[in-house]
Amino acid sequence: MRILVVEDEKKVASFIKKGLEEELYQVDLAGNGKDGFEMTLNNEYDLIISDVMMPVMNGIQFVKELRKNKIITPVLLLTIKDSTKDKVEGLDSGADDYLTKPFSFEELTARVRALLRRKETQKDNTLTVDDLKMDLVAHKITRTNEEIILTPREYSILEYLLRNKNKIVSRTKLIEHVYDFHFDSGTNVIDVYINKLRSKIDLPNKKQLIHTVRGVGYIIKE
Amino acid sequence: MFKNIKLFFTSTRFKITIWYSSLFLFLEVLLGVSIYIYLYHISHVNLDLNLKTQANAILRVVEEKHLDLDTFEPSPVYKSEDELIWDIIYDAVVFNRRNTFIEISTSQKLIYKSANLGQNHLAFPEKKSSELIFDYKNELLSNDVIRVCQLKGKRFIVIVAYPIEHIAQTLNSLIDIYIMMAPIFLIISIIGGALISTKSLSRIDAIIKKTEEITAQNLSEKIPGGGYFDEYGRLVNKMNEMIQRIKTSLDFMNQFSISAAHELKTPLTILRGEIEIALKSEKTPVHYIEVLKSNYEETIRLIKIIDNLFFISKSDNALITIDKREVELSWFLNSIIQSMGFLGREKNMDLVLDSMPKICVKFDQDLIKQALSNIIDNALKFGDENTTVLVSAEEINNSIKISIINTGPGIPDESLDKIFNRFYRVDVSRTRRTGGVGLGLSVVKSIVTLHNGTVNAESNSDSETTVNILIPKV
Repeated sequence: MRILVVEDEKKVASFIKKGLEEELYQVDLAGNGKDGFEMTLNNEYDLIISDVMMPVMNGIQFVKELRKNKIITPVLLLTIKDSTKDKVEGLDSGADDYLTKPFSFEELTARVRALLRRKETQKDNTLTVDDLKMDLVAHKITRTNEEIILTPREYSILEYLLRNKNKIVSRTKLIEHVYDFHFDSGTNVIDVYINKLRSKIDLPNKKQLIHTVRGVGYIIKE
Repeated sequence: MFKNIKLFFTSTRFKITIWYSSLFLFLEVLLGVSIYIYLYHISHVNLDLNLKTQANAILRVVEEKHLDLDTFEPSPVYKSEDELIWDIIYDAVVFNRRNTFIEISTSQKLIYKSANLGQNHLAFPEKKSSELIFDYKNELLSNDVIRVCQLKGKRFIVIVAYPIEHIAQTLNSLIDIYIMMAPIFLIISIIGGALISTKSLSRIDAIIKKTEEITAQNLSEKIPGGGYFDEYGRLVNKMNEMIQRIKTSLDFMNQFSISAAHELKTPLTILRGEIEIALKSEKTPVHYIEVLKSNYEETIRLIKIIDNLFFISKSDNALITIDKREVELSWFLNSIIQSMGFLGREKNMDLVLDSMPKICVKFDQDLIKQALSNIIDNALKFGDENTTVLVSAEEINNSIKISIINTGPGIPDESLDKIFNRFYRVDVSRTRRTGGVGLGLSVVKSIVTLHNGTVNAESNSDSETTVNILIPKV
């Protein structure tokens, strides 16, 4: 899951990035709304966390600009302004959630999870397919109650596939959502990770969950 | 209930009514007494005058007829003495409309007495004076005093008398009327007083009602009635002005606390976030050291913000005392520059003192140092890399002018006056990214103002920004 953090205070941006990376998200940083907007045009993000008071283009203008350009990525606004008026203005501009500084990081991650599952029908913090379960809080993966240990990158790929269960996901999409930098989509790095994942999940004695769609990408289904 | 009654008796409306009706009653009594005294006096004077005139007229008639009773001879016209007398007297008393008592006599003999005297007889001891007016009491004639006028002619004595009774009756009925009218007057005056006070106080009631409604939440509302130019209008205007002043200072305080909270929130966000993440999972010592270093920086930033806030609120409440001591200015400036020069090293900036003569000045060295440090700090922060920050000083009349010039993006014209205001930032995040707070320059302004000086900033087209401090030499 790839998240864009738009924040002008470097130290705040830096600890948010660090904290979210520990939660196995891929994080990009932008210093103001204008830079942030350009980045959303070039990359596909699953969530945007944005400060409100920023130079050049503030958070409110940024969200409005996104919505005007039909970018519906969920946006979480972070701000020191805590009056009802400010919250209403923020949410009415098109943002999905609002968190006031100084915030608890635990709350931030909880809100991030809530916003990420909003587009799906999923209502708890586990993603499942057949007997495979992914606990998004504890980052624990189990198949028929046996724990499976994954590397952060493998985890990210599996999470993205699970969130798009029963849908074909292209290699390009996977690259965009699991890496926080540009990757030459001509590489076979995704295929390598998929093979590693398969070797851990789709054990020979079990039902195959990850399927290859030739020439397009991958799909996870029961 | 009891409270309401007490409120009624202590109300201005009640007091005005009481004053008004008391005054009204007092005037009524005064008028009544005056009229009574005047009428009493006038009727007595008139009575005397009338009596005298009548007596005179009778006397003249009887004297002029050359009535000589001593030598009376019967004639075809007057068969007896009496006929002659009656004829004459008739002439004299025919117009006695007022029913006065009349007696005409010679020194020896009573010639005529009016019928209303009956069997009575007005007998007075002989007096030398030809004209006498006096009071006489005879219960057979009248219960009241009788006013008597006695005129003495050559041969006749005329007495005209009139009981005062009639005058007294008139005056008594006057008093009766007054006594009857008094309660009516009292009621009218109370109603009038109540009406007048209610009318004049209704605007006070409106003021009280509105004043009760106004709280800290709706200070922008106004008390009605400011359009009049009378006392109430002036009162309302003054009260509205006072509310405006309270609103201004409340707004200022609100703005101050909101801004102060905002200033404090950024470092607190960083501290909380960094610490939470450091505690979330085990990290390398290098990471912990980084977090501690950053936490230390933010702590220093918090202390600086709080110091500045504290300084400003102290200076607002006039709690700062200045301790002026004499110092040589170029030495003083040099010491500041030497202690701050290292700040420019990162951006390869020089901090230089322009050549200047020796000037002896007297100011609070700690405060002025703080002010200059804040300005120099800003000049270095916002200056371009590889440029010089120049500090210069000169004497103008009895003041010294210290200028700090840097080369950089400059300050937009519309912001030049505002940068010394609290929490004002030319560019919201430009200062934040460089770790500054919106308070430094307002501290400068407070310090300079304490020294009766001025501070201003100017930017020119060569991207040079100058901050000038002008303070008296002593």
